[in-house]
Amino acid sequence: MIWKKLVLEPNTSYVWKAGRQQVYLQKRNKEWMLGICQSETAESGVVLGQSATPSEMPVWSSYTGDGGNELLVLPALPELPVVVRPIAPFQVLPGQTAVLYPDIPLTLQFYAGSRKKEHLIAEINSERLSQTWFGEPDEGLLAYVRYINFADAFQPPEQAEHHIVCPVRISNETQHVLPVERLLLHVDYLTVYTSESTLFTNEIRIKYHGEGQVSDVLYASQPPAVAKKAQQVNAPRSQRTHNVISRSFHIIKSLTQY
Amino acid sequence: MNLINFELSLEMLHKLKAVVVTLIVGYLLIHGMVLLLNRVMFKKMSKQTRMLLTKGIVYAGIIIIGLIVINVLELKGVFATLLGAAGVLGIVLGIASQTSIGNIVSGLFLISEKPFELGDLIRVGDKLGVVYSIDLLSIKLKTLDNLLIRIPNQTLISTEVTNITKFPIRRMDIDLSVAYKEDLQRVIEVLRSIAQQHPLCLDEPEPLIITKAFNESGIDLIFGLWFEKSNYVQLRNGIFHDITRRFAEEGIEIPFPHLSVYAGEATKPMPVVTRS
Repeated sequence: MIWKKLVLEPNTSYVWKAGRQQVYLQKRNKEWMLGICQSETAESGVVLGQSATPSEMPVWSSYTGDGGNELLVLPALPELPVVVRPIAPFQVLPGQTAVLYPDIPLTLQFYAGSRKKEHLIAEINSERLSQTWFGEPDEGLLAYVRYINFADAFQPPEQAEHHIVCPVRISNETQHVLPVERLLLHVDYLTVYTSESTLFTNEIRIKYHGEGQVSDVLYASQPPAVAKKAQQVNAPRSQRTHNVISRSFHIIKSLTQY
Repeated sequence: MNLINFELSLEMLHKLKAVVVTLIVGYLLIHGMVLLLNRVMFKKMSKQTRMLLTKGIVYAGIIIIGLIVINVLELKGVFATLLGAAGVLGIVLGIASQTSIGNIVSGLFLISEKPFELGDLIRVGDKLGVVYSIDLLSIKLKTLDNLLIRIPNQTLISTEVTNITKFPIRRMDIDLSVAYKEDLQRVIEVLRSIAQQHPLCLDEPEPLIITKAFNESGIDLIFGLWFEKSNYVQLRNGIFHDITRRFAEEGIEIPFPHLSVYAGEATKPMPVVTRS
């Protein structure tokens, strides 16, 4: 399923608003023109419409095309992993399971003509995410960081048009409280689904077996149960191998251990 | 006599032909092997390993071809005589090539120790540059203003080398000063917020903010920001702009030395008017 298909009339400007990002689109002869502007206020969702010349001149990039005037716009997850951090401390009690629905700002993928890898002309993040480092200073992983109020993340958000909801199920299979300081989401393994105007990914299931033990991380192959009438709109960036095991928790050592 | 000369020159011609064929085939074989390995194996290797293997293959190939040529030209007798004289020659060569051998040995130590790789940004003494090539006797640095510096391996062994891009993230320390009238706690909060709002400044490890000293004009601070090594220029330019803008918005004064100008001994200082 194609998320949005645009047919651009020659020499007409279109604007795509997603959050603070405004993407201006033009078709000139065989060329695609893409311009990006930052707006002062975030729009409530993805807005598409014809537009006159933008008030602030965007930074234009041009791409050669095959003469067609169809542009496909697909929602995707960011190109880097995302670290989700709680604003307030969050713990999972022994033997309990918590399901969280953090939302991640979407990345727009623009394809000229057809949905082939070689036809991808641009990827634009709807929001500028800050970077973080997951690991030690001499070895680790560069990721984006997203602060979430976990107390509000127990239910999927009702309106999250320029965000993708990523369900995470955390099972604490130990006899100790599990303080979750940060969660590393390898978003490149996730599929994007649309369901009643909300975008979802498949569920990530994390089983915590204790400190010093490797946690199991499983990426469900089906859309999450909350996404009714889910339809796939984008495939994962990377194909995952079986039993992807990753360091997804960073546990604060309890004071007694020092 | 002429017949013997003719036979000799004919034999020599055959040998020369064989030498030419050996050289051409050898050249093609060496380059073919390097190309083949480049396509099959080298893709997964680092630039450094690729360069070392390529040079190893080329040098080994040249030695083998040289031995074949000696064999074809039947120079074994000459070679043996040369070897006989090698005692004296060896001493002469040894003295003459002391530095070169030292450089080769130092190069081997450097390769095994691996303090840097091709493409790393390093500082050797007061020289800063990207490692451009690692050779038998020296390394070549390409400076940031596009100059080539040759540093002998022996110098590298005995000099302190700083590898700036060894680790994936770095910290940029900015020295700051604020006026004595400022509330330090508020200054620290503003600096934290500047770091948080800059997308290239890493959220973790956390920015380092240290009050350093009471100076002549103000209180000195160190503002240390972690970043991914490739974002150095972007972050440096952006963060200075952000600091000056936010300090101006928050009314935080950055002190600087003031100078009073006197027209002469008997006169009063020249009046200075501050305009906001």
